[in-house]
Amino acid sequence: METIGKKRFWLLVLGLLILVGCRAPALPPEAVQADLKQEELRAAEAEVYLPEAYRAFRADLARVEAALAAECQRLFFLRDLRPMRGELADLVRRADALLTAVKIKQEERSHTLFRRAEVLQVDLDQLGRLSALLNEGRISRRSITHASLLLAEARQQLGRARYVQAETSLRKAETLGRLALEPLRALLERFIDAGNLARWHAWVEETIRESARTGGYAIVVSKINRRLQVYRAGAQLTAYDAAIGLNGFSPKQVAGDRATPEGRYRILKKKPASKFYRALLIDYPNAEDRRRFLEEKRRGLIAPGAGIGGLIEIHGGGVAGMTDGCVALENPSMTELFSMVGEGTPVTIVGALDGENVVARALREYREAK
Amino acid sequence: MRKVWSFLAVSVLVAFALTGCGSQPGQEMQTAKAAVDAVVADGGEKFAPAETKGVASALNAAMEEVKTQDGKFFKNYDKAKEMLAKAKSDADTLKAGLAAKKEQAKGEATANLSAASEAVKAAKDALSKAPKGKGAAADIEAMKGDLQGMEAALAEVQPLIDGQDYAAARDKAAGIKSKADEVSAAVAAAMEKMDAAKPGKKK
Repeated sequence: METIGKKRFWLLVLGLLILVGCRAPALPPEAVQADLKQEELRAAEAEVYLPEAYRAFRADLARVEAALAAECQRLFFLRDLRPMRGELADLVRRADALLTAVKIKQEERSHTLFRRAEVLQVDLDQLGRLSALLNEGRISRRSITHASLLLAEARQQLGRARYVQAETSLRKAETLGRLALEPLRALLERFIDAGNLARWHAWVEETIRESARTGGYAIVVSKINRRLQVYRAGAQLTAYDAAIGLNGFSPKQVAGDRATPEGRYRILKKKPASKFYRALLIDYPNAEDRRRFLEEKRRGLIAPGAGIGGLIEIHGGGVAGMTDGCVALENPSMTELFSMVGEGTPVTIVGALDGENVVARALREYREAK
Repeated sequence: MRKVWSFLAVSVLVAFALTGCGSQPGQEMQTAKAAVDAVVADGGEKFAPAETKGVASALNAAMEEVKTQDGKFFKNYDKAKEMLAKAKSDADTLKAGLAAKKEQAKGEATANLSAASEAVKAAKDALSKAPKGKGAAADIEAMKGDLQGMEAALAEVQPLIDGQDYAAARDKAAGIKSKADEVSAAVAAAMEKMDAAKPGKKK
């Protein structure tokens, strides 16, 4: 010792200590695990499900990591990583608990979203049927189709456990579903409105009574059922399938609206040769139609230049399509009807015969499904 | 003199034994962690979720092994080093393959978008040639509505591609194509029916 000198010896020892002491410490495994857990929480969208707990976890992790970094700056023999390692191990356990809680929340959300998707599917199917029933494809099918595609997307996202994206798609689809329903609602509700049903019922009753009184024929057309009934002496003789206007379920307002009028009419003229096989011209517009037309015009509900229209017929040509407002039958049915009825025969056209019509049922189902 | 040098040599050996052979595989831990982080940063969760989870789990298992050895008096990190090397190698392999996976997913989404656009265009063309009789007007209008809905949905596909949500874009475009094909088929069937109904035509 004396040979090399005490001073030199202690310098060597100090050098050795500095060499070892300045070595960068290894990253504690708990720090890596805590980082991995944070990543797992992020991937599980913990920010969405448990935002406060997740943010608190991140803040605590950042604090401990900062403390760890500061501790690592110290010399080896002064360094004590144990408190940080302990805290990091606690954070890993906390992350596991958070992940379990997130999973529970995800399952709850998944269940809710699947249920919402099912309800929306029923709604869209029903809306599609109602749209077809009312022949209002042009105003609602865009929304229904778009909503169906978004619903399919939402289902795929649900299958991939991407609940946030699934909910976004589902919400958009639900909004479109509501948009699709709006234009149909006004039309649909006419067929369950008690006032309308009572008025239509009274017209039909009066028509049948007239047929009974005179012993003659009478025609009743139900737009919602697309059926034309023939009465003789107050009793139903026969009935045929019928087609109505493209906007047949709306009440006729103006010329060219392609709606079928509702009211009590009479056959004005029999046309044995018509563009649509044979035709029975009815006396639309009648006095009531004119009064209503003028009233609606006065109230600004009808454009000032609009006409009331006319040339409404019961004609042949088939029931496969839609007319411009007339009532169409299959040609054999038209042959029979044409041979039975004469000019002056009452023709009553109503929206529905009673409250138990197909729209009422569909609306009821729709509301029950909701 | 000799004694002193022997003492110093032993000290150095002991110090290295304590801090070297039995020390944590810090470097390996750092590189394995960096490799896993790189996979995540490159969108591993999106394009290879199961594999990404796998490499993260492997890294976590290696950390457990490090902790186990940390708790022992005679530490042996050989197994941990092997595990870390494997985790790193798997992560590197995964990362190297991610670009191809991403390209493939993007290619599929883009191809499906293109096919869906073509299908919608074809359906619109078919509809414009559909019989215009008043009987068919309602159906045509309804199908036009369908096509408008499809076009609206089609506009949502490109943003999904731009946001690298290729799987969603691919499936959405496929759904649109399928619906557009249905419209084309319905129009073709209607036209066929009309042709067959024409007098003098054989059914």
